[in-house]
Amino acid sequence: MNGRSLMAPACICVEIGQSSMRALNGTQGFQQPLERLPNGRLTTSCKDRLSKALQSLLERKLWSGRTRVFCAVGARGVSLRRLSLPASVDQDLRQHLLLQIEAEFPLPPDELAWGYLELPSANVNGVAAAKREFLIVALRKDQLEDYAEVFASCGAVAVFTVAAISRNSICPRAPSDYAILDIGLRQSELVVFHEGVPTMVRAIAWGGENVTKVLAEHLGIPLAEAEKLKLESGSDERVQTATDAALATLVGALNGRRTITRLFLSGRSASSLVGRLEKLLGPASQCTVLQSGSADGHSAGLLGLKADLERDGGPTIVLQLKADTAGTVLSQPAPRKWAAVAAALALAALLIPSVGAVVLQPFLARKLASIKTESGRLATIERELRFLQYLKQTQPPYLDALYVMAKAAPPGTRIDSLTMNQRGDLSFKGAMGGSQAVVDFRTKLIDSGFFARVSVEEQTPTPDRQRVNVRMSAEWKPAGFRPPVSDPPANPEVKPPLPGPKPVASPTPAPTPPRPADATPGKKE
Amino acid sequence: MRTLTSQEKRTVRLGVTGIAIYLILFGGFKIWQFLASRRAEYRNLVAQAEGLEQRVKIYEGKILVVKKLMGDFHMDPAKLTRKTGMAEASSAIQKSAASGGVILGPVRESPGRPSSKELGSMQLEGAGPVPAVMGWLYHLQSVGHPLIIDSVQISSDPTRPGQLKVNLTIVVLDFEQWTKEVPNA
Repeated sequence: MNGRSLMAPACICVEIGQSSMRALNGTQGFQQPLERLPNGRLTTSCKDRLSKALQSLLERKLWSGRTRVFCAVGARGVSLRRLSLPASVDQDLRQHLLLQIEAEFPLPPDELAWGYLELPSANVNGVAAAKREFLIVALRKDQLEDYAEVFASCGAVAVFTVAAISRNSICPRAPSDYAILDIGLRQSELVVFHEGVPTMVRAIAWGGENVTKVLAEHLGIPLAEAEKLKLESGSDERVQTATDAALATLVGALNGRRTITRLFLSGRSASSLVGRLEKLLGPASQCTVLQSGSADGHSAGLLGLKADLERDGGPTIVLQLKADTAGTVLSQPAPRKWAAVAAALALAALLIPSVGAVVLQPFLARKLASIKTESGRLATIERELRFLQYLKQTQPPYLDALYVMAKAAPPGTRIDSLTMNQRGDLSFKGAMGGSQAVVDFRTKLIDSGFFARVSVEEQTPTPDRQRVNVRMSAEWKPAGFRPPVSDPPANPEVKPPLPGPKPVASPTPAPTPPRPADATPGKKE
Repeated sequence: MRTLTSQEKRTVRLGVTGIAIYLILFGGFKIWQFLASRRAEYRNLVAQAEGLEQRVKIYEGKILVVKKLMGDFHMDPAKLTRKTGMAEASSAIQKSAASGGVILGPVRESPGRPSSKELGSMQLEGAGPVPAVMGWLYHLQSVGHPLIIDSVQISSDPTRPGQLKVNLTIVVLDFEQWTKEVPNA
């Protein structure tokens, strides 16, 4: 057992006849009688019994998918048609076939379970045929629904085909025209082939039981003994006469098929009846028994189905109950796909971190190296930042000092000269209205909070005693200790400053600084 | 060569199977070791990249500040050259004075002190109306060169009412001499 077979879902072959169901799972199998209602449907009790019997056979493994049951049904109600479509029809083949089926069959396609087989087209003088030939096999859908229900209740997926056609798979090489006759208990199935393609399928209401009954009547023996005599196929003349009488009905049904030159027989009674049947059919017909292994309980239909599975992976013709479902199941077993996906995901989960590391490492290393090379720019940015911050912090607040002085200067003040330097020293020389004006001026300068020290170095009255010449010096506070000049002063007596220039940190310079002109030197008069 | 017995065939099969399993396990172990080492190197690189990212993130704020200051001063320090810095600064100052309506008088330049990271200093004398002088003082900060006005002397001109005489001492900083330590302000 290899891994593939381990993961593959189990496949079971089932043949459903009119009176019994036979199942084959590997070497295990069973046969169950069928109970039908007058309309041919299975009884409820029969369904339950079949379901239980199948469940014992369908031992589904946890890791495998849904079991597929390849189910060969009897020939009763099966119709065959040959349909032609233009060779150009390639897409929507199913739709074209449905249209043809609707025209050819008495029932609408919705009520049919049907399948098709494309027949090999013959080339004429090397030219491809203008038409494509199809063999359509159909039967009423409700004939299969009971079976599908039973299989579905067991968790299996049913794939239906026709047993009469499957028997062809175990048929040896034969001439162009031949037929296979499966002799059942109460019913026989005849399918006629031409060049390996079924041309007619028919259920004959005649079975091995007919021979048994005739033997019992003619010989006056119990049915069990008659059955035994039938299978022994002895040379007793009375038995042969009775058998011929019983076979007369069958021969009558077969004689309508004059083209049959070779007849293959299958079924439990085939071996015992083949000699008499060949004699009754005449010298033109040759009868051969198919090696069906019916002694093991394996019918010709089951063996043919099994041969189909081993050769092609599925039956030659699949009857579809629903659109495209059976074909999908056959072509792509789900569990194998999911197992492969799971294995791929597990492998990917294991390998992706390593593969990512192996694949991405060179790119990351290169990128990191380039970033490290460019990281020297960070030092440049740091230098520029320190330089610009130093430049900003060391800009002396000359205009702010002028603004504060203009705000504090009393009317009539005249400033002759004003000197300021970067260290914060300020000195000015001017004249004011009186000593009280000087005192007020100095008080306002101190109250502004801008200056750390304000001193009057010299105060001299003018000769006319109307004004006072004054020389003052001051020192402004260092950056960070000075109040912003635009803020309202802490002392309520000091009026809010007029709109002045933006602070030093202003990002955009004003086009013209709006300084009060009356506080500038020479103007405060 | 004689035909192997079934026992010998079985032994050979077992041996081949064992060797195959050993090779698969050994090869797998080696491959796993190789991949593990590459993963470790990759993780190391990722850690370095994350550290670098953290370092760069700090600079994002600094870059914004630098951009703002450069906009305020109308200056890109990287474009300042030492050789022509003094001449360009002098030209910019004089253009600023002329455009502001300040008439400049004598301009004296003197070399700077390397210890103070100065490119040089200038002494300028000028005269003009009050608004022009004030505007010029204001615009000197944004002429595109690292200037610091060392001292200002403003006096009235008795002969020309409404006119001011201004005497400035301006220091031009040398960016190339700038080091990480900030000079004492």
